[in-house]
Amino acid sequence: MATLEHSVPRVATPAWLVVAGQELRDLWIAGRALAMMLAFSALVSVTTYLVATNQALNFLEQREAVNLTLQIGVAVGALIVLLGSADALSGERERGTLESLLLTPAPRRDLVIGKGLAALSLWLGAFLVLIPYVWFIGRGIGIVGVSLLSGLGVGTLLAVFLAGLGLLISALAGSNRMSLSISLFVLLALYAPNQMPTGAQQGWMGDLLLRIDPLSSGLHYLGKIVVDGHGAGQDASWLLSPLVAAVLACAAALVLGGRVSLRAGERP
Amino acid sequence: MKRLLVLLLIGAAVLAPSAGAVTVKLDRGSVSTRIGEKFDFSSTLRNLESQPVPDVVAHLNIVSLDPSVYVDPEDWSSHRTRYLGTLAAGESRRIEWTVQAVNSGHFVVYVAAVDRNGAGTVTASNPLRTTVAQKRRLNSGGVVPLALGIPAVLALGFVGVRRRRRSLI
Repeated sequence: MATLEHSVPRVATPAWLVVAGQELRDLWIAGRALAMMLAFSALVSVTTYLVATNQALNFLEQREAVNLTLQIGVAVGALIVLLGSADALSGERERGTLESLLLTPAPRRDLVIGKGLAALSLWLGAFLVLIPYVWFIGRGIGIVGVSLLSGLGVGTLLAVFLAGLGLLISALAGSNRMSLSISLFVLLALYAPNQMPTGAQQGWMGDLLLRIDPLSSGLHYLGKIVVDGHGAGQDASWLLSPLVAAVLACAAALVLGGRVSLRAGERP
Repeated sequence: MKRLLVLLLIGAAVLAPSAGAVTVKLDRGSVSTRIGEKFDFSSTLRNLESQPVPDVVAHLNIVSLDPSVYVDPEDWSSHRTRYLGTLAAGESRRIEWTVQAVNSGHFVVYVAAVDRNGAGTVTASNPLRTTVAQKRRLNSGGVVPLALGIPAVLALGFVGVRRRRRSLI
């Protein structure tokens, strides 16, 4: 009886997937991501408790309470992604592990993609933690589903933007401390337009500032859907800025992160 | 001579048209809204006399029909008094009002026209019957188990992961 042996070509796993898997293990199994999720849940717990029990805040209409919780969740979830990605390359540089990482056969661009995907997993983890809080605040008025869906969409867009931004800063920064400081400063600057008094947000200048700033416009879009009950497409123009920012930040991170190299004095 | 002048002045004051010659009409008779929401309406002031009426003032007021609900009209509108100046004979003047409902219950909103000198009568508009519904508030029951439970579960997970790592090392 004749047998035919077919040689099955072995498909190599893409390098970015290998890097992403390793980074995910480092983040989640080592417990660093869990510590971030714990801090995140503590913050959202305090917010939810205040929204639900404090008399002054409880004057909020229920849709506004959902919006407040969702916006805090999305904003802080994006902050966690930025912290994770800002550590990606500068952290390796500081720990002296960048050289061995660069010696692997993985293209540098794949290193950036893998690390970026691992940082994005922090947002997905934060979103999973956020779900029960949004359900609790929004139950009974039929907006839990739409709030979570819009939160996931806007949050993912902002997380991709901040992951790209964090990787870009991390690739350029000389030290991890510098990378984290610049990232936090940029994030604070991005939050600023959203915190302006309502009066300052009126008029064409205020409107323009809100629309240009990816974080403010993303959170504004969330408010339109959750509080005003608008359809997803009605205010879609507010998503233009986060979308453009995400594309530009990721492209810049891929270009500059792909050129990352050891600097003088970094070889141990 | 002096008596004659005084009499003439008194006569002129009595005969001159005052705000009492002005009618005030609101564009609608009722409105239903929710607490915290704003609503708009307009009032039309009309001078029915054949002479101009000087110094007309329009004033917005809110009355609660429920004795247990206290109304501070300043909270409802911060721009309640409009100084219109002179209304020519037969002239109509339309004024837009924006009001925010800050109490729930049943109210009457009306606009009164008065003379700036305080002479003559006060003319009130037709009532705008306003029903303000409560907004749906969050039921805070059960928030403590949620607010403590999720961080507790994550803390347990974190401790478990750390212990497992230590045992592997």
